[in-house]
Amino acid sequence: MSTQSDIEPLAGVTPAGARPSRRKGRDNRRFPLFLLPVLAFYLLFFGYPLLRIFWQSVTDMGGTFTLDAWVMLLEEPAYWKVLGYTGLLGVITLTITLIAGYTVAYWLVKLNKTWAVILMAFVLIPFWSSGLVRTYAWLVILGRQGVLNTFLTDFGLIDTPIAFIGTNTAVVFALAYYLLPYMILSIYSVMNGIDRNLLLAARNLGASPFRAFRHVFFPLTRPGILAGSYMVFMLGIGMYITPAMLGGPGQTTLPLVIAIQINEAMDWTFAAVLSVVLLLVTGLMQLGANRFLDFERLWGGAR
Amino acid sequence: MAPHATAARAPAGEVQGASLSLHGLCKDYGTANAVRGIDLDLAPGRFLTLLGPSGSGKTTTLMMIAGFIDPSAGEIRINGRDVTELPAHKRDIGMVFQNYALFPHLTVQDNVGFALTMRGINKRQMQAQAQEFLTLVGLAGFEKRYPHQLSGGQQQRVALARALVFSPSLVLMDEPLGALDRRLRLQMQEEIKRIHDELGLTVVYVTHDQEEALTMSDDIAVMEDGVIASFASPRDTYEAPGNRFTAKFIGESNFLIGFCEDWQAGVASVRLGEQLLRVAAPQPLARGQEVTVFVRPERLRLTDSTAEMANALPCELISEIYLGESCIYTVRLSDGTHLKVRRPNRGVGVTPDLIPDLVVGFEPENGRILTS
Repeated sequence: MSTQSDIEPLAGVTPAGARPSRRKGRDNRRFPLFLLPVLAFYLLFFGYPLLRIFWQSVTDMGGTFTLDAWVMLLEEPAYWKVLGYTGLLGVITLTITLIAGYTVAYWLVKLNKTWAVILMAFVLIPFWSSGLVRTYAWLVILGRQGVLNTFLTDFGLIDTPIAFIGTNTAVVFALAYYLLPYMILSIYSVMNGIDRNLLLAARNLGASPFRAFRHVFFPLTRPGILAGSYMVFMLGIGMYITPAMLGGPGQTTLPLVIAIQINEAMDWTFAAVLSVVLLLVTGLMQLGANRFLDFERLWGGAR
Repeated sequence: MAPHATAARAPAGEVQGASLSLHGLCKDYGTANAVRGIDLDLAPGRFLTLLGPSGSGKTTTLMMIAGFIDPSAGEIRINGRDVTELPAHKRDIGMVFQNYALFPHLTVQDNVGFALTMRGINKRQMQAQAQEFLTLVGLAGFEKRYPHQLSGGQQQRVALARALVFSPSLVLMDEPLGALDRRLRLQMQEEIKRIHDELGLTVVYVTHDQEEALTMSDDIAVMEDGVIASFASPRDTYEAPGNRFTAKFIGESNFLIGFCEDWQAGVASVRLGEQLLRVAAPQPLARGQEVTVFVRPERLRLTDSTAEMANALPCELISEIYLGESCIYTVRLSDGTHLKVRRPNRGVGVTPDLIPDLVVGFEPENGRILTS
């Protein structure tokens, strides 16, 4: 399931806002009965398979309890490297999208409304189109006979085509490109909700434009930064298509290893172990993020 | 809401109000003129209210004084110093915003001390001074709270303390009480007046609430279409408005259009159809000039035709609105003009609906001639 996360955005976390999942149901006084079918659906097709994966990770193919797969994970440094690489990829992607996304979002809120709407469409169109198509587009651009190489050779800038595919650069750029809208939307929605008068108040109280940004605007955008970062990182480490298509053997991420275990090694137990690891990482992050997102509600006055 | 500490004294450092001068101040947004030439001289320590309907340019004027909007023409002087080109953060003007604009991510103390932090004052001193001003507005003990944990009235007080903490000599207020309920608004009006008197500040206050303008101000500038229609004390603004707009905007008013037949020693004779009215007119008027006779509803009397009155017009009663302490009667004159009459509910005398041969009348000094 985690290998599919690049197609299905995480349920409950809408890209438009830094709001915590509605399904938490913490505020509900009474359980609404009409939700029963939905609940049943989730339990059957979501809850059960999830438990099944946990169970799978500690049983062999014959169904007997064993921790062999977990021991294998702990003893084999190659898997730790994959895990580390996946995390690093997530962090680098996050850093790039954060810098680019914050800048773009800031620019969008400063623009007048008409232009902001038009340019927002440019952000959203790639967001709505298929991830597979967009990854293929990178293949077309970066391939040996791709647009970029053809362009560079035609203008005599290089003699032989550069191998972009199979490099960290290609994977990182494609990931960042794919995930940028999530970051922009998260930050933009928070920025857009900031009362403009707060900045005027800061200026009036003696803050230069830069200090007004630093002491007032930036702290107020933190919920957006956290929500966007959380989403980009989670989606980034769970991406399958991009590293599979644009990466080489050196760009093996956790989801790729999971796929290999299932498709080639036929080791479902170990695949389950790796899935559980990915699930734990994202789960822990969700817990961490929730704390910050509650923080945002604490600042309810910002909107 | 806890009442403010009565012992609150002016915090350290005597504040002296600044003088404010606006000369030919204009702001046009492309085709539309928001402000079309404002000239105004405000003495130190005065409480000036910019009063006007929305779109009259009062907020734009305030924003130009604060330095948030660049004027298209004209100049702004504070204490004689030209600040027209000075960036907002260097003007040292306190400001209270319409929705308070408190920083949601900072505690009450850090909100109030923000201006001090920006001025490089160390934390300990900042906290002491913030405390002092929170006491001034009656909010001691709320230092560690966040704005969203406060009621509207409390947020208002924090905004006030924040605007005063760095001892500005000029404080701007943009409809600061607009979001409060009536009771709280009256309380805050007193509070603001008290602080104004205590600190000797110069205040420029924007509101569209005429009652607020009358109770709080030393001077009222009534704005219309980006210019000042009237600049006078509250009493003069109400009693002797210089033009129809001002008369209409402040309080309720009745207008009668007629022609001047004669003017002698401050009293004009105005021809109104069959009737000849005698009305106070300090300025000489030309014979035959069209003039507006202006009378407040509470200055009109409803009696029967036998009563002695300088000006008495036969009328019929159209409607009555009961307000408790008074009643508003609408009457129609023979020419179809409607007049509003306010009659205090003293519980004596015959109510107008029982008066035969009803007339509406007033003495010359209760009316006023308006020429514009």
